[in-house]
Amino acid sequence: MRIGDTQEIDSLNPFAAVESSSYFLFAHVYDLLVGIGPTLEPVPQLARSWSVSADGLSWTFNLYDNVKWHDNTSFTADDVKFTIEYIQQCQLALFLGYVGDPTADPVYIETVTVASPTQVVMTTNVPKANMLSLFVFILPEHIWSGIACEDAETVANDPPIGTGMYRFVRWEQGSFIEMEINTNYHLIPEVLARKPGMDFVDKIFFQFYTDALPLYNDFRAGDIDATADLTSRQFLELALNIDDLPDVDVVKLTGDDISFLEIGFCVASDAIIGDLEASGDLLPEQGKRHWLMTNLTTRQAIALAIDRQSLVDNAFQGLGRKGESLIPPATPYWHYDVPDSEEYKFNLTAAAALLNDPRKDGFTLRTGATVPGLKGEGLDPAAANNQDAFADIDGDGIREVINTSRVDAEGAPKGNEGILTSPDEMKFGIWIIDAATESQTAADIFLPWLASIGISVQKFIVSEGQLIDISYGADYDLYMWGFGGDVDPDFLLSVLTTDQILGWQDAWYSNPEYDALYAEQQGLVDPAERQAVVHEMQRIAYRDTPYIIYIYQFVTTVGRIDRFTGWGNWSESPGLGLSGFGNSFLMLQLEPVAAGAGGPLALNLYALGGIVAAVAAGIVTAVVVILRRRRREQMPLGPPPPPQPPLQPPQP
Amino acid sequence: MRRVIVKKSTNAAAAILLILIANFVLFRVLPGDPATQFFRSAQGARPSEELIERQRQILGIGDPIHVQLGKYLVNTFTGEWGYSFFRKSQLVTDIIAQKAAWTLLLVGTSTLITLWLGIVIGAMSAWRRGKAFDLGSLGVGFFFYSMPTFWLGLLLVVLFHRTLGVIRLFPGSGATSIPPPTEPLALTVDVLSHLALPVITLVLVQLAGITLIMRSSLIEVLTEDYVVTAKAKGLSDRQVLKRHAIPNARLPMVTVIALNLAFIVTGAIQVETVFNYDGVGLLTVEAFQDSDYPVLQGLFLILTFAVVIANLVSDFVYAYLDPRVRFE
Repeated sequence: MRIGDTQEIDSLNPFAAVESSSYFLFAHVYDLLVGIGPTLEPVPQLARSWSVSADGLSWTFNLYDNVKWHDNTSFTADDVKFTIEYIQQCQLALFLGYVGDPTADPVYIETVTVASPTQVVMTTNVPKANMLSLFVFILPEHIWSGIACEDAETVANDPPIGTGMYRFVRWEQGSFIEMEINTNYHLIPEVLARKPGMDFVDKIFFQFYTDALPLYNDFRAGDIDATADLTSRQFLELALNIDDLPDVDVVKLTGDDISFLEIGFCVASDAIIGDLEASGDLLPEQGKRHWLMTNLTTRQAIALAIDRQSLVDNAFQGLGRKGESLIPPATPYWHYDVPDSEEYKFNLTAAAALLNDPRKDGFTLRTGATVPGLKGEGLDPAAANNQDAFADIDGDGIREVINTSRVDAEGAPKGNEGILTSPDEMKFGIWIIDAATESQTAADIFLPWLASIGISVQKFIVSEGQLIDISYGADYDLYMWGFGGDVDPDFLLSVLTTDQILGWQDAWYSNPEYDALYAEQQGLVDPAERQAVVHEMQRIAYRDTPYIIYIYQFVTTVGRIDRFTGWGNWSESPGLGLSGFGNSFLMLQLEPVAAGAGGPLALNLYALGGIVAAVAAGIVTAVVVILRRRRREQMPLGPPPPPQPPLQPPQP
Repeated sequence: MRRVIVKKSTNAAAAILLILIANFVLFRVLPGDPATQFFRSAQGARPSEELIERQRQILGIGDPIHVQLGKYLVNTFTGEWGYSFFRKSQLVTDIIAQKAAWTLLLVGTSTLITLWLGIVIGAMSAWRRGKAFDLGSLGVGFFFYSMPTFWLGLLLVVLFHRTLGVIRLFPGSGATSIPPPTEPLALTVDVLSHLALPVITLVLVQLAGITLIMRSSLIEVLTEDYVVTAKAKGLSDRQVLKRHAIPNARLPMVTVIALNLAFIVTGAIQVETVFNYDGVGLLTVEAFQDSDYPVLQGLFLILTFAVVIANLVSDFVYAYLDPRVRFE
């Protein structure tokens, strides 16, 4: 099976790789202890079954007994113990967050004991909620025990040895990766018991492109069987019948991704900025976010002025769900469905009314005016109960703050707000990454809405590296970014905690109540209890609006259904995918249709004919030229020389 | 002659040194910290400050700039161009060498064909100046010359792709099939068939330039007195052309060829992108996007050397071919 990707993997070593395409390789080569199944529930992968003690502190995993590493060594419980301890000892950041760091985290795996070659027991210091969704590749002890901690993130790891369904064969740099099926894969007998005689894909070629265009052409030409890297337009425009036969060749699969895109606000309070400047983490000239970002009314008014569904439909071609709360609906158990009473429904009039009268204490009109406009024009700035309002006093279409001392904000105007002018004007900047073209289109859609209610926002396009620097300096007002999460909600919840400021946090949000709930849910092993806390955290985050989450994007994949069947329904089973969530479950149900699909391409007779023709033409031309040389023909040699004056005979 | 060689070689060496230093400075001044660029994973998630700091130290960005410069100059001349920031376990020299082979094949072939065709057509056009062949070849040449390269490439795919095209002849992407055939004859045919469309694209867009230069150079020579003299001596037209006209018309071509050789190594980025041809051009684009400093420095180094050396060689060849230059 040939799979195309627009990003080459960057390393065979999971601890060195940062490109998400590398995880395609790892998903097939390595196994997790407990797998993430087609509907994102825990399923057996290396552990056949598991149980937890009554006090929630001791977990027993029973392993499969017929598992072999790709180099034919046997897999045992020692490998599991080694993996966890290696990660903790060497402080390997990639997986450390899942197993917990005994020296730094409040919740961690304390001991790992090998009860038998097929049974491992883990204890945690306090109940740990995410023990069944540890995204940790189990590593072979006999290879990694020989690698010192300081080398773990730089060693080449060629070939990567795992227990997964596919074995790594080779990596042709710049071109492709070849993988071959692991005939000893321990989950295959279970599948064969259910479907005797089933055939699996023997070889996978993972082919690299730098641009989506040749990938698209190759898919249409039949040289690629599946890809998730087409652009939205290409995905939508691709015909379902692409070869000369009248059947349906293409299946278009959309599945929920555990990710969201947000419009963020830099809500850094003056207190936090001051502390960090004192400790040297921020330079004095940093922290230039506009102070109105810390005002809840401003954020909520902007939220009311943006039609998120319209952004999904018009900027993302409808390939996603309207965004709302922090945990995406791909994990419906944890996702908080925002009720109608709390939702920021798109309503420009309501947004304007909120800015006209944040404290809802009534307003007086200017003499002669009848009703305040969308920009707050017509409000009398002298009236006592308008002092908390934002209104366009000077008629330039941008609201001003009538009385800064009456605005509830965690920051005060400094006079050097951002790159813009007066701190009293609702004039902000929005920073967007250059590669995020669909987000830029979205901005072009919602900036006019904001302008119509009197908020002026200017776009700044920057590289991702620059945005990271700006973010760490709290030097932006609004920005557009996104996050990808896990099956377990812990990571996405953590990004808004105070601890993650100058870490994963981009909004500079700091709320002690939220932080306390985050710590609490980490220890709630009972799902119902944990769900209540997780929902409450999302409700708080939605109300406080450090983010306006506007889309949960789909993963869009196309595949050749005339060559492979068994793709499944990805809307119902978001855990399927070309590499799922670190698994090969798709490959366990995918069956080749016709023999010969995906094999090395045969000698192309047309091409051979073409080359022969070209060479023959060259020879014929040469012969003709040589024959013509023999013919003596007079050819003009350019323009005649200018007439020379006739030579005068010497005068006698 | 020796003095010419020494003087020009010294100039070339000085130019190379200056360019090395300028290259180093320029890349350090680019916005975007490669340490943070490292951590581009799913949906723009970002790393912690400690991770970035550690990455900076590994990459050597932590050292003071003059230390970095010194190390850079020494390493350049000892061939230690370091590891790619992005493909962490690979030497820059290895990465570039792999891709350079394909680029040489692609751009080298198309340059040779372009030069040969350009000289022949240019000569024939000058011969029949003003006649149908001249106007026709110039018209057709300009037609293709003015097309955007990638657009022409896509057009050729639409016309000649072996499954998608109107006339089904050639593959439309890659340098070889995947996996490449192991048997030598099959491999050769495979490589040639993948080479066809990219080469045709490059030849068509470059042809008019070479043709024009040859044509105008030869026309100028044909108006010279010594050509009239040669004809008056009784030499046939063919002999006049071959022994007197074309050798003198050739001289500007030397310069053109030298410049073209230098640019062979940069690869043809547009063609490589459209045809997914894994060469140095694509590598340059990727290295830019990834802020992969060592690879970028290596690539620009090679380009620098190539341009300077090509100019040097063309100076020598010119001096060799044209005695007037030798003795000035």
